[in-house]
Amino acid sequence: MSEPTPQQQQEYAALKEHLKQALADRKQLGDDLNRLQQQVYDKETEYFSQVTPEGLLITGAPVSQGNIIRGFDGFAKNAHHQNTHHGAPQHDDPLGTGLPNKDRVFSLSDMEFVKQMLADDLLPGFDDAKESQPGNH
Amino acid sequence: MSSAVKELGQTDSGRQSAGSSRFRHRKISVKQHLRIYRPSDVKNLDKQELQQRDVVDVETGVEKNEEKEVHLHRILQKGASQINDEKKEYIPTPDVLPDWKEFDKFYDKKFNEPSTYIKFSATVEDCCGSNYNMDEQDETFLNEQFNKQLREEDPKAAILTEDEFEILCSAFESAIAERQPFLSIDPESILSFDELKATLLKVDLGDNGIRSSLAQELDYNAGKRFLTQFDPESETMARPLTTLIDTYGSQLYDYWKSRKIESNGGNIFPTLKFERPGEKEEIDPYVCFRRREVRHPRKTRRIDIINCQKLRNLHKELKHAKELALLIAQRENTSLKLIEREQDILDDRVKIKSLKRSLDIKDDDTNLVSHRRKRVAVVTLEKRLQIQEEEAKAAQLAKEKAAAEAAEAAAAVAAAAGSKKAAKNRTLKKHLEQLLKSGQKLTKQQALQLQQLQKGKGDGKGSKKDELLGLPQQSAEQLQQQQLLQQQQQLLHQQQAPSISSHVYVKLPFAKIPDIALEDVDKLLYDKERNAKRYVQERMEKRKQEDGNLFFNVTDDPYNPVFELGLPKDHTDSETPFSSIASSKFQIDRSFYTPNLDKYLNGTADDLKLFNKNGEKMQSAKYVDMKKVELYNPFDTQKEIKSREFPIKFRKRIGRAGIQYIDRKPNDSCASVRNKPSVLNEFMDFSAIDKENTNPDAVIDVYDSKSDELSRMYDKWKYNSPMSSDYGMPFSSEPSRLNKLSDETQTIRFGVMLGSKSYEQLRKSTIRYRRDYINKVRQQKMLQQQMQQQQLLQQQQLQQQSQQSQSNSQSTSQTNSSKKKNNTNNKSPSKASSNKSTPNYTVKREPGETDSPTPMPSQSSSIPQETSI
Repeated sequence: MSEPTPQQQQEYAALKEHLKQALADRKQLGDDLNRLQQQVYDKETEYFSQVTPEGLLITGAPVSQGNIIRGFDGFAKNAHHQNTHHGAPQHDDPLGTGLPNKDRVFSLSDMEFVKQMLADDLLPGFDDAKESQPGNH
Repeated sequence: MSSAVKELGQTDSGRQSAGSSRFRHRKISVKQHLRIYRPSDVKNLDKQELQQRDVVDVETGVEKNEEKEVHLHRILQKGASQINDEKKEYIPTPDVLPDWKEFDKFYDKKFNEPSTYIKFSATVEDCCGSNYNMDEQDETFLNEQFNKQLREEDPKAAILTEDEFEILCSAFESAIAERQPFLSIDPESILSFDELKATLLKVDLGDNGIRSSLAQELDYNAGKRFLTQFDPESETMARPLTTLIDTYGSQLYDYWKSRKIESNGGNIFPTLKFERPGEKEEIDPYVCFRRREVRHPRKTRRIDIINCQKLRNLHKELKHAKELALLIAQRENTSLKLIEREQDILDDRVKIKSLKRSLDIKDDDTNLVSHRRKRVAVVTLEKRLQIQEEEAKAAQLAKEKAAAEAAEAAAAVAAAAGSKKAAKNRTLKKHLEQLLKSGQKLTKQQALQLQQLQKGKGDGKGSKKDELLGLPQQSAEQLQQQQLLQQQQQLLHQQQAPSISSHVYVKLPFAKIPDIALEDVDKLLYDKERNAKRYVQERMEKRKQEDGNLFFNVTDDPYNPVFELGLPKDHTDSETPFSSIASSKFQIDRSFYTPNLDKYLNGTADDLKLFNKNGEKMQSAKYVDMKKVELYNPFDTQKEIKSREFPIKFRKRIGRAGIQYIDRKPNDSCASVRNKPSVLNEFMDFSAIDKENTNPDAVIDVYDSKSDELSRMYDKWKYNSPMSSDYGMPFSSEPSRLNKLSDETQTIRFGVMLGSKSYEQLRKSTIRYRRDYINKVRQQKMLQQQMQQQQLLQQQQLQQQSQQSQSNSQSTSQTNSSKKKNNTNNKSPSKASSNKSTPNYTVKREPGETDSPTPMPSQSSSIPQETSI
């Protein structure tokens, strides 16, 4: 074991500083990521479901003719034709949000998020969809 | 198209062909298959079929308005004559390149069926590069002049590519279109480069501009060009517009400007003609070569509005999609950076560790150890639901706990207060203190628990929620405690109050939280305790007074504590739960009844001596029963006292030398009942009742049912009592008890009250009678006076009349009578009727009063009535 030269010590200090910075960065990025995920989830809820991000059912809101998740089938047709199509299957949408978990294509495009949610058993409907259509995954 | 259709309609009606009336022209639609006939097929087509199809029978082969096209017009004018002409007129068409090298690049022969039919509505021209297309003139300028010059100045300088040239030119075009939309009126007024530069740099809607703005929005700065998965990997890429403008802008602009002026401010390169729905087709030489578009006829306004709404919705949806897509891109970018950072950290750590080992540096290792990564903490709807449920549960739990506690405290206090057996206040006080303390402690614990619960939740929710929850926690805790305390106090005051549901979660603004100092809690507790003590004291004294000095009461003596309650040894005050279940764990340490209670109960006490009624001492062992101070062992559960009467009567007296005597006298009525259990049988047939009860299936005869009779009898015995409920006090003594007086005093008082009341009434009635009498007399007097006056008046009148009659005696009797009549009429014409009737009346009624039969003209009719009273 040789006595550390000033140069080495400097290098060590620099490395340490770099590490510290990187750790801080990582923390910041992690927070950002969380925030973004929440934002995506909330926006998705706001835009495509019939509930507010706080989980309150929106009543009296006009049923949109279509969205980019459900598609725009019959968008150009008149409203009364549409209503028949709107008896959407409820079986995979236990909360009655109009946006079952398997349709959350945006927020669930992050595998990390999906994994965590599945581990916490907080994604009812998502797993089922997977099992029922094994070919798609 | 609509105009075209109209034209056709006109030609149809003009021509009147049989087929055309049947065949309706339809717009070409993608849904309809159209057969393509080759020229050779046409010959074979059957005439009928042709007519049905009706390939529109147009004169010239083109539509009417297209006939106006210059070249066509010229040809048409010449008519058939030109066929033989040497020089043939023709419609100039642009040259068709026989071999377009790049065809394969744009038109892939292989057709892949897309998932959706419409991906893109822009034309091919719109999406290839910029809007400006170079022509030959531009090309020569760029290559021969511009780039050459660049090379000359600096051989290594990057030349301006054709793409970049086009980008710049289209940027100029759009900028001028924005700033000078009516340039064609005065092309010479075109702005200079410096004037236009701001507009040029403002928005960059080109491919590059969008890319750079997107990259900026995503915080993407990897140094490379921002490419998406959909972009082809191209080697040569145009430089960003801003740099192009800065480096070449001014030079190129001069050239472009000259061309713009040359083309009179219009487009430099030719553009396609489009049909405009509103515009009338003007005579345009190129009208043939316009792009035909399917134009939907205008429908009703309502439809328009709906469609507008739909378009707006669509726009909104697409905006949402874009926003989300951007967020996703940001997320992915962030996670990419995160991964890179992880890599950095790992590398750093590896380096630091090896360096540390080699240099033998002792340092703290906190940054070298990987901590567990934080979990993804997105609050999904499911999670939110879960949290809400938990909150509700916690609130419910807290509520229930508080309510139970309060109820228990009340019950405990009530029990303690109500117990007449406790004589020493100390034990009670201790007990109370214990209960209260444990209660208080629990509320504290509870509050802490709640706090923890909330905190735990807050962590799960993420930073946003944490902040929100953090604030009200402390105040909530305080508030809760205060409320509980207040409640307990209330309950203590009420003593036996039923459990009240408490409101643990009451949200109050900070300003409204009562500002109670903490010392007040001690004071409140002290007050509560004092009140409880006083209450118990009062009850005990009252009870003692009821006994009076009549007999020596060991069973029910309020001053005699029976037990000392304590906690089991392994329990400490703090951990003792405050509940009824736990209270069963209290153990009885000692009995304070009397020092030798068991001996007194057994009748073996030595200090008691037994005498019979003759004063002879009885010592035989068989009289042991007599020695028992208590005939019934109150602690023996087997023995129930079923009588309302005391089986033995005791009397305490103090004899000579202070010896206490207790006279014992068996209660005869009671004893007889005990000895003769069959007394009741006189009233009831118990065997019949038993029979009824053992035979539950039998139909009960309502009238003869014995068990029913028994229950009715029991109720009668229980409730139809002439005695008041408590201790056999006669009902009549109740008023004295209520007034807290002796019965004698009560009697006197009541008598006096009756006397005074009757006297009052008598006095009142006498006074009334007198007053009435006086009034009556006074009225009579007044009436008499009035009458006398009237009589006087009448007499005077009569005298006058007699005088008049005497003076008028010469006149005829007829005139006399008429005058008399007039006289009366003049006096009061309205009273005429009464005047006529009065004479009879007065004569009849008061014959004695008035001597004269003359009427009383001024008298009102009410007077006689009054006098009759």
